[in-house]
Amino acid sequence: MRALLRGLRDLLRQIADENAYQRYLQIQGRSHSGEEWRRFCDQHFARKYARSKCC
Amino acid sequence: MKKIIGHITWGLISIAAAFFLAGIAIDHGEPMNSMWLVVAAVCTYLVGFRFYAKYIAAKVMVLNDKRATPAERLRDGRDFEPTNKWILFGHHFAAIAGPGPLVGPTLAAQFGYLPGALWIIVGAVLGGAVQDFVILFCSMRRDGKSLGQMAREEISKTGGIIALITVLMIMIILLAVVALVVVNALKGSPWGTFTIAATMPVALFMGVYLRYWRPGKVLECSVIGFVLVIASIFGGQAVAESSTLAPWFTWSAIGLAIATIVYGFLASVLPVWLFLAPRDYLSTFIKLGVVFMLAVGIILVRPTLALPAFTRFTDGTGPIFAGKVFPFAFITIACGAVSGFHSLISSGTTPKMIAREWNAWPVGYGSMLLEGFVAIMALIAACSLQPGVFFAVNAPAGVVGSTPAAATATISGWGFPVSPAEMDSLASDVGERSLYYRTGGAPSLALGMARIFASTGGGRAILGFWYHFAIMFEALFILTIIAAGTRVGRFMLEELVGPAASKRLRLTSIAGVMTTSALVVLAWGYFLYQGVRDPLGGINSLWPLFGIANQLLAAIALCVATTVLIKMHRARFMWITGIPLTWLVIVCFAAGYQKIFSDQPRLGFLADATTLQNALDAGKIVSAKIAETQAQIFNDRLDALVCGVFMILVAIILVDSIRVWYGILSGSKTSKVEEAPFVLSQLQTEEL
Repeated sequence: MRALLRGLRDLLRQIADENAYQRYLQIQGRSHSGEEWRRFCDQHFARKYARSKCC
Repeated sequence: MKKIIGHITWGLISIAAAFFLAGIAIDHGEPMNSMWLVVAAVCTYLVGFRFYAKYIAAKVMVLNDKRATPAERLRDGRDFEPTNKWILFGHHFAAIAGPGPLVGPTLAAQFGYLPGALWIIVGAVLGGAVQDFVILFCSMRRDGKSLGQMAREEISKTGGIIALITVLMIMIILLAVVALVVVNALKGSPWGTFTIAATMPVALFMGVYLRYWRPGKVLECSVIGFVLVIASIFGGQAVAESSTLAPWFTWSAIGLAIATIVYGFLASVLPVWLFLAPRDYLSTFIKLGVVFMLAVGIILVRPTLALPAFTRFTDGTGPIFAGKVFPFAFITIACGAVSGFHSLISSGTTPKMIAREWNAWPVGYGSMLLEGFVAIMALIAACSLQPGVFFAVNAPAGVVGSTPAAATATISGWGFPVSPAEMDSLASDVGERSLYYRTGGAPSLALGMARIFASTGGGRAILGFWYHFAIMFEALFILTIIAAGTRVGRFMLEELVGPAASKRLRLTSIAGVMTTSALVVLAWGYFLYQGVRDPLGGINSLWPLFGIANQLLAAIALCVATTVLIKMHRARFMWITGIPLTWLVIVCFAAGYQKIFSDQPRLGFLADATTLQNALDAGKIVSAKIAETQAQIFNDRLDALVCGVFMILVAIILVDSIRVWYGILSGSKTSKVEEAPFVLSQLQTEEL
């Protein structure tokens, strides 16, 4: 049950791009701030919303 | 011992699959319980996943966990990132599941539950899931290349260009048809219109909240957004009950179509962080939640299917859309059985996130089976409505008559009794003034879902809330698709004109973005407007066009997949992709031919144009309707042209593929596999 809930939490974080943001911070070697989040969003959304959404 | 238990378990599941599949196909002489469909689908999907998909993975693709995937080799923490298989499964499922598996089965229920159910079950196992799985594999072995790139490299340059043009055209038809579904669901509904209108400021609020107030707190922000959206449903009820406010939110179909077109334009030019992204988060979470709720609801309520296995409309005289059960059941249900659009997702983000090759098995094949199950649930929700109510909601005035008395008399005359009092009572229960002529599938699906949810507790008292919750859920993610699709259409236009011309025309400047957005919006907006004005409800012409286009894209994907198998020296397994490809080509070309050339005006675009032209020439059209009739004639010819272009494009790619296959198999052409070289995986389990 605990594993299931952990999996669900990880899935929600994945969909919410929170995992991608953590990786971004790790790669850049920076810590979280409003400015970093905005920089991440600008890069990430440009790629994410250049792809078609399914019907 | 463990092995024997495994054999016995799978033996029992296989027997159950066969028993329940046979059970749904046999006339029981009484209404069938929906659990027959659920068990038949689940058991067949399990057998397909365990045996057929594993066979493809092991014998045909020869998946190898020792081979490093692009996620490992090209890991950059952005696009390429090894991801846990169950997280990726959920991510991929969320990406492929749109309105298609909900709306298509609802519309196809006009034939009865059986044609749709069998197509969703068998089509997903042998066609849709195979396509998704094989394309995911091909892309994974080619560093995550897109379908267009693979078509260009594996078949020919022409194949790549055709794939791109086809995708752009499908996108335009898709956006028009899903917009029409929303417009028809909201017309004359102040409750629904207010609720959906309120989601716009909610999205803007979420965008600002996430950007400036609580940066990075997406889950927290989505919870707040969800609470506000639920509050807007209650607000919608108050608006609908207010004699002052209700007229403000009571819109005609034309008004809503124009509003949707303006919305599409604004949503595609506004900064993504402000509107599209927060809306996308919210709609994805709600979509996953509702799918889960519907599954639980169906299992708890176990509704009886009120629609019969087959209706009289298998002969092609259906009121929702014209055409016989073959081929039209198979193009009406695209997503849920086979969807070409999935090949874009399977060759998009997902192949760049697969950690181990064998993970493609649950992610590629399994996700599609889950979508098939969503389609089965939508079919159950629609078929649990009384048939008379189902047809009164979904049939256009042009077919059943323009007054409630005429519509109910026509439908009752078909053997599906329904009365104006019954319809009025139902409309009152869900807080609507009328439920007639709501073509598009969304309202009847919402009614079915509302009944299932209300049956778990609350009953008739909360039917209105659940109906509008279901409408909100459908409209929210359809409008997100419209916003995202318009943006993507813009990028496709840029790609089509090429980087040099794009730079010369300054397409990425503000003026360029506005112009390309306007072009894309006008393209789908035109088809939407045409659908709204269509006396036959619009769905009759647009949904089959979308279904044909989507299935033809699947045919392109399967051409690529078959070519890759042949190049991998797996020609003896080409039946795996060849059978669904052959079926789709037969179905799509049969449907496309009938839509263009059938001599029945309700079915054939050209026959309708000729009938209207003859009436015009004979002076039978009143002067007030002349302009409208001329526009309808033009639209019929345009639809015939679009359908014809789709078929020609796919015929070219098919001939091109056969030329490549023949060349390789006869030895006159060398078989060059474009796969990335083998690199031994160093990925540790704890990294996932």
